[in-house]
Amino acid sequence: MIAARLRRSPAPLLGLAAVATAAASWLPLLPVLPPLLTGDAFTGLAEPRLAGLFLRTLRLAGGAALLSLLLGLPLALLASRLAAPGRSLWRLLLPLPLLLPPLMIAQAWHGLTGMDGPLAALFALGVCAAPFPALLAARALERQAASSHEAALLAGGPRLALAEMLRTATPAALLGAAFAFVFAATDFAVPDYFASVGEKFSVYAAEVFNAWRRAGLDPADSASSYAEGMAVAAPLVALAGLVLLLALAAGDLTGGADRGSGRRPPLLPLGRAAAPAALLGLALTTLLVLLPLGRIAWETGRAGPLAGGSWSGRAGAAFDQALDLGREDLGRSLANAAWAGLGAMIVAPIWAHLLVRWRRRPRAVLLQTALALPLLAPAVGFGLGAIVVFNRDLFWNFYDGPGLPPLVLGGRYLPIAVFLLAERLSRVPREREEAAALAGASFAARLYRYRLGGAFGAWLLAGGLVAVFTVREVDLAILLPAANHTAAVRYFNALHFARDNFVAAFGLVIAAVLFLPVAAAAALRGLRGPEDR
Amino acid sequence: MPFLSVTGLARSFGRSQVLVEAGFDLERGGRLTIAGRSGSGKTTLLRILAGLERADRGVVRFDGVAASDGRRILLPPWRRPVQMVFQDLGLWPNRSVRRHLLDPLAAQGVPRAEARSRTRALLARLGLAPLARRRPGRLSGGEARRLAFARALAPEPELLLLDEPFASLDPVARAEGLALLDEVLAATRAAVVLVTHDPAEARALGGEVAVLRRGRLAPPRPAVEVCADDETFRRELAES
Repeated sequence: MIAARLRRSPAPLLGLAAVATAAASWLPLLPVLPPLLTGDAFTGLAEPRLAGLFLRTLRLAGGAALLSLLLGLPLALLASRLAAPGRSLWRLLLPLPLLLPPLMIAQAWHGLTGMDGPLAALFALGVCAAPFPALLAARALERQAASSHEAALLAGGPRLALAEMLRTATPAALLGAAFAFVFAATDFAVPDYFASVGEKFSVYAAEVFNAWRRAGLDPADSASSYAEGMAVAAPLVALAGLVLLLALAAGDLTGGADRGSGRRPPLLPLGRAAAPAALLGLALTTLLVLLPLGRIAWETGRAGPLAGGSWSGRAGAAFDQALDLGREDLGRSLANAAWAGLGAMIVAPIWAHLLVRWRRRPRAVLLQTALALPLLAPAVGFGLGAIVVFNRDLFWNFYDGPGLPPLVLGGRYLPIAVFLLAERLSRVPREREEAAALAGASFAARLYRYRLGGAFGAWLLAGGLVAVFTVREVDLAILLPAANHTAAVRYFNALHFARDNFVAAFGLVIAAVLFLPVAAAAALRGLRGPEDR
Repeated sequence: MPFLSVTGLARSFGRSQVLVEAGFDLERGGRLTIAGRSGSGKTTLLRILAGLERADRGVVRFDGVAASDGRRILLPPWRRPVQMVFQDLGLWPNRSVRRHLLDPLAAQGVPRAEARSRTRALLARLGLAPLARRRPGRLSGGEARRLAFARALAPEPELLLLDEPFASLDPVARAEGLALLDEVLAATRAAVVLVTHDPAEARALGGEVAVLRRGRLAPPRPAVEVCADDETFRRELAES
């Protein structure tokens, strides 16, 4: 009877998840289906210009993913498992580049070095995405069985223990690099920024936008031009999907082999190497966080539109202006983020539950693919799809109202929450759900209360990540009229109108607002002690 | 001079005093079972011997050389002549069976050819040769246990620490485990310290048994005496 209860399909909840995901994640991709299925959309792909665009984007995304891996993996080791000074600080600052708007990183590095062109975009996107491999690898390292680490120490000393840590972290870091690849491949704003300040170049996300713009704003025309633009992206979407699914499969194959006794693995003593390791941590953190933030902070008071007075006077005026002009937009962004994050916290666990239940079956791969699609498509294309679908008489009030931005923005980033929670739910002891089923708990209670209750940190992180990406997303927000009055769009516009002081101050305000909950959560985690591993 | 000498070992976690003035000597090639109830501090004692845990007080010496003195670890784990089989085995999920033996030997500077031949011989001896290319995730429970023993034996340690290696096994698997212990004991000249609360394991190891009572280690007595039968052993533990 209990087995039957555990197997029973939670139809109402699945229906809710399916409807919400369809509306938020899949509907905006619908217009591209007919021309993709008939093959009409691929007629232009043989053009040398598009092939060049494809190769450039591939190089850009591949390079950014590699850079994120090279920066993220050592930082993960330093922040999680090496006994070097500064570990807590690196751990706290690790997620920060992910919270900063990528445009802000781009602006900072352009200001610092004058870099431009595709290599600059590669660098900025790699730096922005470094927390993906870093955070995932750090989590994997923190979950390594303590006995496995200690056996390596006894059998081969610190060198073997370090090698074993690298083997433990690599699948997770590769998954993070796959996310970095996806984000870099689908980004429009950062390459567009570097193209606008120096050497002109284009990426395929821009082609999606340009194809739509060439056809004008008529819904009928834009539907076909959107499809044409997305078709340009199709090979790269497929490649990004393949990379992501392979990385997910690799993590799945190697992640669950040895869970150990639940004891936290100890730090690896470094002896005389502790000081160089601390210096490396400082160098990486400086590159990822301190230099860009320092540059942006300096720009708040730099002579510019707010010329006159001292640096501190100009910086103060810039922050006043940022809070004055940007307060309402930031409020709308946070409201969108809250709704998107909350929605993800309700819907993502249901899909995560199914992915765990269907583990290693073909239908799990199908579901993973379907769920990953909105993330794999360029945000520009996703936004144009949302316009094609929702800009109709039937949805007129909704299209212009406050409901569309959180729906579409949340829909695009839902896969991150699902994959994160699927990995976490796979480690919740099955007995917990069975005991709850024996006690008569419903599916919803078992999932949300008993399984996620012990993994509250991961659940909150899943919603938090969706919220953060909702705030910093500019490519999509700039296209949707209802999302135009948000912090990211105001930042984008101000940047392109060269209002440097305001841009810097507003960027720092956004970063601070996003970072505060992370810092609070870190402090809370320190107070509460570890949750279930 | 004893090969291993432990004197006045004390360790507490918060207010809980796990070890109080624990001490014993062990000759080269000697066999000692540390018996005690769950949570009595057996594993902590083993981890201090391996250098994986600090004591609060007391000294651990190998051949008269201090390896741990109070809170100071003078010889790190990898410089002690010690290997350990962990209760949860602690296998390396991303390394093949063969690599579990070969890589530690390489890390210890054993020449490649010698490391290969030692690995081959040990895998054959413990019946793991056909599984050499598998990863731990594709081994049965018994095979994984054999691998944990093989890995511990490969560097030819002078002291083998066994932390309840057959805990929570069904009777058939436990019998297989005891047979494996016989094979292992035949394959090594190392001194062995076994932590257990199973009299059959203590009898299989032979040598002496020291019972850990409220953090205090009773003087070792012959295993045939302490584990004469299950009831005698149960009484010894119950007093703790």
